[in-house]
Amino acid sequence: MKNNYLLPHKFKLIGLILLAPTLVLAAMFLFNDFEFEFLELSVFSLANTPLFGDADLFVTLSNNITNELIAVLSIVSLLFIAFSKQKNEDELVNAIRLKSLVMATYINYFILLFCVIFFYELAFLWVMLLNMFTILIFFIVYFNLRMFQLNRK
Amino acid sequence: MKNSLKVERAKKDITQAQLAEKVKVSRQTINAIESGDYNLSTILALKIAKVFEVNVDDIFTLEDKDM
Repeated sequence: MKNNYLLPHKFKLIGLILLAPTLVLAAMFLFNDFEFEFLELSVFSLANTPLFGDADLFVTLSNNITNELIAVLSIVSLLFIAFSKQKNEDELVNAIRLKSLVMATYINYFILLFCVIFFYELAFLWVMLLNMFTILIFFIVYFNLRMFQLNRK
Repeated sequence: MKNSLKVERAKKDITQAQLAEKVKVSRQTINAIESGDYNLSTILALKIAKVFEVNVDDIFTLEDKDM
C-alpha cells in the first residue's frame, strides 16, 4: 500500500487558507448577491439551458463567473483539507480514513434521501447546491473527530 | 486475535513509543494494537516480530471467535 493517493501534509494548511476567504465570498454571494464586476466574462459552455426554451450546446456566452469561482475554490480547498496526509500517517490512520469515508457517505445520502422526500422545487435546488459539498464536509468533520479521539489516547 | 505485545515489550524493556519508532508507526497505533482495537497488517506484524526477534505467531494468535 505504498500509494494511497493522498496529498502531502502541507496541502491541509493550503486548503484551510483557501477556504477562509472562500467562505466569506460564499456568504456574501448567497446573502447579498455579491459579484465581482471584473469577472463578467465571455465563457465557453458545453450546455446552457435557459428557464424557458431549448438547450444551447457548445456556445459562448456572457456570464459573471463569481459563483463558479466560489464553487471551484470551495471544492478544491475541501479536497485539500480532506485528502492530505496526516502528520502521523500510518496504517491505523488509513483504516480510520476509510471508515470515516464510509460513514460520511452514509450520512450524506441518508440526509439526501430525507431531503428528496421532504423538499420540493426551489428548496430542493438549495439541497442539491449544498449537497455538492456536504459529503466532503461530513468526511472532514468525522475523520478529524476520530483523529482527535485517537491522539488523546 | 490475541497478542502478547505488552509482555514482549516488558521482556525487552521498550516503551510503546520506542517500538512505534522502530516500526515507523505512531505510538497510538501500537497502543490500539496492544489493546486489541486494531487488527494490524501482515507487514507490520512481521516488522514487530523482527524487532522482538520472534515469529509472528509468538506474538499474535488467533482466537476461537476469529475462526
